[in-house]
Amino acid sequence: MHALKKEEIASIDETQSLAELNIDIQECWKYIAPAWPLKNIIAANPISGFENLDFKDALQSSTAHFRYQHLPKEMQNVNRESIKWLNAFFDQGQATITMPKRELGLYQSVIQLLPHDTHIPKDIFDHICNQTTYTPSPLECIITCSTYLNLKSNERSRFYTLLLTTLPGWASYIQYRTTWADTEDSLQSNTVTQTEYLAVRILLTALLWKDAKQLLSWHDENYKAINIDGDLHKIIDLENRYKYNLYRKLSSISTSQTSKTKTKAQFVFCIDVRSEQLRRSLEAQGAYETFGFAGFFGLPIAIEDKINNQSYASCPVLLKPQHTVVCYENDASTHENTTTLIKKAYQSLKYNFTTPLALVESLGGIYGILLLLKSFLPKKASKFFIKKKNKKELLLHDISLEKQVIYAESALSMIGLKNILSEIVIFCGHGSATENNAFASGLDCGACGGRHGAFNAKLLAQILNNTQVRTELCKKEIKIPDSTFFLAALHTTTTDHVTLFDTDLPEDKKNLVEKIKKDLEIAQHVSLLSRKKTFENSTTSQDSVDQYLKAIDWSEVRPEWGLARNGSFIIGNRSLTTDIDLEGRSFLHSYNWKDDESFNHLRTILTAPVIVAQWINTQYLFSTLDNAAYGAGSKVTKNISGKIAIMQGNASDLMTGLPLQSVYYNDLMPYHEPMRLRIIIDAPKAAIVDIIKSEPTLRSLTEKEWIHFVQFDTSLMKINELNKNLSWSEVTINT
Amino acid sequence: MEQLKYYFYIDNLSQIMIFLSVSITIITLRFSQKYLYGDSNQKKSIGLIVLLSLTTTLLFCSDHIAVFCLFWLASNLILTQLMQHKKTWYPAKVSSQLARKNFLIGTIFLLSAMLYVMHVTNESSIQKIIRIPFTGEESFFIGLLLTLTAMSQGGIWPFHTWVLSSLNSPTPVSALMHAGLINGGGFLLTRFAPIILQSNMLLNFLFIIGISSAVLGTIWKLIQSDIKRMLACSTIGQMGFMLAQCGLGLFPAAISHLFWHGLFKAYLFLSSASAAKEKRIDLRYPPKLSEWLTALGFGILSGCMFSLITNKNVFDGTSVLVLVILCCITGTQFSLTLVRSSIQKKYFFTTCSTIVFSILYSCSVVIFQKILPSDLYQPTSLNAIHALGISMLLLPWLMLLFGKIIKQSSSIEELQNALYVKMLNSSQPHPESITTHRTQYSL
Repeated sequence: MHALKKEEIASIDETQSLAELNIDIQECWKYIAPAWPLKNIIAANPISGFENLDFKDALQSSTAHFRYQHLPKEMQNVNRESIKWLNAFFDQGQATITMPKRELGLYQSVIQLLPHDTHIPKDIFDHICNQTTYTPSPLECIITCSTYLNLKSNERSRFYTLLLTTLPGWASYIQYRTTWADTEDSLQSNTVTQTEYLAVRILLTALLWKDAKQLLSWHDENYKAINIDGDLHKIIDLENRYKYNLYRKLSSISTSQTSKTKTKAQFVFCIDVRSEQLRRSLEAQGAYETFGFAGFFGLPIAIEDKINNQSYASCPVLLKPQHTVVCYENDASTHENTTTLIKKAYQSLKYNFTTPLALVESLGGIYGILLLLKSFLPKKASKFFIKKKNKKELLLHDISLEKQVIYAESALSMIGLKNILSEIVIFCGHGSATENNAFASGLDCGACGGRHGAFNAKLLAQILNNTQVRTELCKKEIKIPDSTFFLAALHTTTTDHVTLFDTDLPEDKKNLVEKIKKDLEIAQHVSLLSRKKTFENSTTSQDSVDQYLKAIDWSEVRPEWGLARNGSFIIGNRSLTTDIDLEGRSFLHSYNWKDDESFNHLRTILTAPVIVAQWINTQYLFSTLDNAAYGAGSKVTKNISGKIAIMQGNASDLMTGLPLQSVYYNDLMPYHEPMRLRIIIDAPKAAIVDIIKSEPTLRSLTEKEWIHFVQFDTSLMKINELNKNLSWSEVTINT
Repeated sequence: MEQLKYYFYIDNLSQIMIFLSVSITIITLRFSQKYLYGDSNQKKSIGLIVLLSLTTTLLFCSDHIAVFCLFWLASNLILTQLMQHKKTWYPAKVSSQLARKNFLIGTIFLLSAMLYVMHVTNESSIQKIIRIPFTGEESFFIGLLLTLTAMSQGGIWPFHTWVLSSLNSPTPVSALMHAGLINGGGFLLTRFAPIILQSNMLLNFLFIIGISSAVLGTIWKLIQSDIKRMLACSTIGQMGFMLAQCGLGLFPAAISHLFWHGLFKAYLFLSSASAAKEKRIDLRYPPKLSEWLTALGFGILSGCMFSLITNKNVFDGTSVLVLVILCCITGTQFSLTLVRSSIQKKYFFTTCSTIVFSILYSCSVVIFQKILPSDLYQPTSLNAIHALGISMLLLPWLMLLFGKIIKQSSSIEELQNALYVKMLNSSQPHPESITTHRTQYSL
């Protein structure tokens, strides 16, 4: 019997070509969702690898892959060694003495160091790796290990998948590095490929666990033990409760337009759910019109920030930046500034031999004072650290006039702002302001690739204020009145404070802008008051002070709720929603189908912002459903690995996803309600279905029930839900 | 009242320790109020932190050796309770057990030392015991047991595993520990300094163990890729240096070190969530020799400033030289960055900031020398061990600066690789305290 097996394997070895192996490798990586690093946390569906299945089946299958209760002891050991090497290899600036040979890539560097590793049985290592005089290639290594582990050819793909899903956090980071990496990360010297990663995993497995094949039967057992009915019912119950409530609110609106007063200003906010409350509060302060648009304002740009010395893409990760925008200070000196120099001197003493011994004694006193300030006088401390920025920033870009006109036109027409412009139009990007928060970038603008959206807003305002652009637009029958001025702003979501960038403001607009600033302040207070009740631990009665303290307190673990409780995406005129309180749970995209003859704008909205929202929605959903398997766990014991991701405690797999504190009130009580995104559109039924049918991603998500489409017919005041077979059924609502 | 006097004794040393421990407790409590909000263990943790501060305060002013041992053990056991975030999270439980085991071993050393002292002197008051002259053998034996206690408390090799595995603790607990109880060894040795000072052999042993640990801890620190373990390794190095200062007979310097390091490390732990934001600047090593020599001049300047302010004669052939050399090295490294920069009025700026740095460093040491009784400051005469120690401070530093100059041959490369893997493996936490799969992490 045994002999037969060996023969069988030998024959497989000969026949299995490298091409087949490559297919197996590609196949197994399909199950892995990408996970972005801490510098720009992009929300993504942690089980996007299962999106080709019905939601229910995906829940089942992903549970078997990611939510197993026990891992075989030997595999735990493999994970420990994997974590050790991966942490060392992928470090980005924590270690001073980095892993040798990193420039050779993951596989080569690990294989060169492994002979020195006493945790590894040397004889097996020699058996696998030193059969030939040269180092085996990653593919050869995978073949040798698979043979060594007695894997049959039809078992291999499944086994490789399990090697990835038993350490899912790291696999997700590799998925990011190999398929989604930004410019900075794709140029890192510590390179990796999917094959290399798999080769290292299978090599460590073979070295430490001869009978690793048992993983296959372990996984089958897991499958049998699963019961996801409870989860599914929970989700469906929450969805039903939410949707009927929402439908009731929508059907209660009055469609007659009453406002005839002259609008003071028009605001364009990001579609982000956090904009909704501020918009409502602002509209209550007078004749303000607000619009919702993706927070990158349709500008696919990369920012080169010379002031803070960083460059990054400032557009959704689904797009490639087309232009580079350089941002610099007017009077930047050419000399090295003292702050950088002090930092440099500090780092040279801290990350060195011998010198830290004297450093701690010299700086102990200063750090003592800082401890006191940060604990008891956080305002003073934040002033100490944050330099006032009142210098004028300049934006330089390489966008041709033609392109500028195109961006301007599509921005104005998509939100239906073409010919109704008021004197001041404000593009309001957003970002968060938190202190000592490893997850900070996750609270910034998702549409800007996990950064704040001020640059995009500034650029669009700059383009639209350009007289040449205006002349060109005029030819396309978009008439911007000479009196209209475009202004950029930044909405700080943590405090709901809005900063207007008004350094270039014409004299005659100054009075108006002062009024707007006052109204924004009142709106901030109103909005914070309604947010206050969502925090159980708010202490002071002055709401805005309270929220301001949250933004600068270094011990705050819930500075803001981010996009928690998101549940719907409403596409239509603001008049559909002005009168109702959506509780900050809806993405709002302005759209008027009567201005969109070919429905091209609707197509763009459904294929870009809606997809980004679906990623966000599923991240919140799964991080809440199982915070250990899909979230980052509690912030209380978090640790940061290599400046790229979160680990728990001493060492663990990378904990991708949202931390417990972002979706839970406390250890037990969730704040977010896990539910799938409901997209409510004011447009003809046929148009919606046509678009969904012709867009494979949308079609699949709809048919597999990952998202729900709803048509809101404003002329008949009727609500229709789209079924998974793409037919419509009308919803009856008892008001 | 008389009764209390029998058990407790308060002097400047206990006041310094109590001040440090209470300050850090207050900071930690303030931090935990928000940081642990919503955690089901919040109340329990806060209660234990308060209790811990009470027992450590009592420890620092205990005079009766039985009371001392009791509060030593009690404080450590409370700390192990705090370290365990959630019982359901197995690796955290292991961390706590490892620490408990280590502290029990430490307490056994302490108890043995105390029993032996009792046996020899028939005294139970620490203040009386330390005034009794012992024979060389007796003082060595007592000192050795106390040194072992201090080593286990400070995570000095071979007692380091519990510190490397202690990071499953909530962040404020780590801050509290690294500014507090982990320094217990320094306090213990200073408390019994008069006995330790009676044995030269022991002082040499303390010094070499301490310096080795300072170097080992720093190597570990420099290769770590996660923030918290890096901080823990750094503590091991700093605790080593504190023991070395005790070994030099400079107990006030050791107390100064534990005090300032405590504040420094507490801050770094509490702000560890910002680690990803810190951008490492390329320091462009190796520097030009001329730059380095210029910096060396500034380093010597700060060494001189240090001797001047601390009233230490560099050339009297005592162990103080080690501190002066440390100051020179640090001054050199500090001014090297400035010398290599492109700022305006470079040399003026460098001179000023080097002087400021030297004053900061000297004052931080001098304060404690002034507060603590002068019999704790007894520099020993220089010997070969000290020379070895000084070279252990100098060489790794020069290697980091100029290492790239060395021509790479394959045998050197192999050696480097082997050393790297050896250090990487030896700085791993206990395997059972690693969370091997995400679902093992459970609240």
